Amino acid sequence: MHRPILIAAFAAVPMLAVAAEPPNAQTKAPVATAASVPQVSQARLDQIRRALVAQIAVYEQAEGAMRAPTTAEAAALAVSPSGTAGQAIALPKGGVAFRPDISDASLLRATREPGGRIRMGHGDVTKAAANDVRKGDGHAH
Amino acid sequence: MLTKLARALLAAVLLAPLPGLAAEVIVVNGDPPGVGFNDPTPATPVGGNPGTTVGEQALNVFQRAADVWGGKLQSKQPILVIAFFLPLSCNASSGVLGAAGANWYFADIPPAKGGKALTPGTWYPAALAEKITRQDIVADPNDPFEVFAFFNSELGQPGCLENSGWYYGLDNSEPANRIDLLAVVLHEFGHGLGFSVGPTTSSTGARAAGLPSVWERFMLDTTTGKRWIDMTNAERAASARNDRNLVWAGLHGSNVVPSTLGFRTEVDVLNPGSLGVHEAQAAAFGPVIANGNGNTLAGSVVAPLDGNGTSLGCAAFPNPAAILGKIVLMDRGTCAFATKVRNAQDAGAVAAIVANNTTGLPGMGGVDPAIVIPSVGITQALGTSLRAALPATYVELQRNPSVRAGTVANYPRLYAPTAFAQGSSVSHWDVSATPNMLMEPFINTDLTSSVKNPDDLTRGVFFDIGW
Repeated sequence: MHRPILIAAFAAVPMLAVAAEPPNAQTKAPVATAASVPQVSQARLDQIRRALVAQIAVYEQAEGAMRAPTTAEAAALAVSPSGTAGQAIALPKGGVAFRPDISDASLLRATREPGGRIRMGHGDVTKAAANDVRKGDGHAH
Repeated sequence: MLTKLARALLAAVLLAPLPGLAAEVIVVNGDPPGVGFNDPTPATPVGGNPGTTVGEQALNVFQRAADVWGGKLQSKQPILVIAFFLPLSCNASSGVLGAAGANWYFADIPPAKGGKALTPGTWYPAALAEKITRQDIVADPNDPFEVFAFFNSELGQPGCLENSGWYYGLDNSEPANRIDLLAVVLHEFGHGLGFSVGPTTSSTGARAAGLPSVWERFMLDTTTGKRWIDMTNAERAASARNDRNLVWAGLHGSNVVPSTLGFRTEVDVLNPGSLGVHEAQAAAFGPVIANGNGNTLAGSVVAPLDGNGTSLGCAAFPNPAAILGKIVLMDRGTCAFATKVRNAQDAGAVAAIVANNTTGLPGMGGVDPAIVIPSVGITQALGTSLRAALPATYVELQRNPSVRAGTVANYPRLYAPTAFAQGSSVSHWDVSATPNMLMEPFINTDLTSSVKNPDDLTRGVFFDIGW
């Protein structure tokens, strides 16, 4: 019996791993050194990982296709809340900061319509495309 | 006669570097070895992208998008984008492409030396707040990023819109069935740098910690005459659904309208004259409709059934004799706009009109070089009225040389369809803008990598909010 491969596992766990070493960076000239680029914090990676669970796909090896994670798989990926997203934080030197929850990010999606056209847009493109196409039809092929 | 000193001073002034528009936008690769941006799968350089692996090519595209924005904005503070290229939700027919946004919003930050104060009690996206106050604002030392971005690395792979993968070229020349990663990343970076009403929730009008976002000062509802910053939550929620009546009322954003947007296309109903003149959406294909002043296209309207027995025009028309020399009215739905217009053209029509099947104007996008007749989209209500007047309906298609497409009182419209579109409404240009803009909710193939006029309105918005 084939077991599904959790692509999310390599999508998420290695993100945790990079916390131990400086992330790579590409810059335009003058080139910034890797040392000048801050490390990704464990907390932030956890937060991103948690926020992306609903979007991370699982490759089902038996079917050769990707699918959404099951509840158990999603739970296995989730980490404990780290806290500050969606809250205003008073800064010591004055002013306030607000970190939006990445899970609220506006996702850009692509949908292949009957006839092979690819339509791109934010939100639920499938619903928007139900009737036919708007300007997104400009991406018709 | 100028003295040597005066000449030297003049030369110094003339030769001094202009305060160039430049910001350093740094893409920070958040992926681990072997995957995402570090995917070692060999790739052939394409479209000016010299990368030789899939990961390199993807990262090159991200950096090009960062450079485009960095070249058009000015800041003394580096802008860090934490980026991931990883598998996201996807199946054979649909998939998440990605997202980007401001990683932080800041308010009431005291300026550093040489910096300026933010508008009090107002949220700014991190990169802009740092530019204005001229400092690196550190809310969390472990999370110093101004922008986050994540995009789908699996696109085009088996089970994920297979054969419709990313195009990694830097030349906006994606082949059929490929998705231009550069256009998509440019669009999303735009949101991350400030093209968003966030952190205000546009669907409810609710504000983060009770403070408005800097965008709200420039968002004007032309029905109520109120700006978002002066509205209640309920009023903002209603304004977010006030189709074609929510505009960007900033000085820079509106100043670039004449150099960027084309003239508004209209349908002037000559009979019955009581129907008057109506805004229409010009098609992205076919010839441009001439300006007014007599250079217009007029004709009788017919609304024949197509070969499927419907008003959709998705099949050839069985009775061309009734169409020859006429303007064909069809309904939106089922097939592409270009298909409908092509069928009308093949039957001998001189022009075509597509009536929407929902609120607003249809986008009229598409490509068909063989189409040589003009066509426009109209509202569902006007379509109903034109049909009711048949067979005596007579209209004129024209462009109004005094009004720009996608504007109200020269202010560019924001996208505010009656049915709120999560993720699309408010923080995009309206789809009635012509030509297509980078920050419209639906990404089109005819975009360039330009974010400023005469190609795009977007940088005007950035200047208005303080960039």
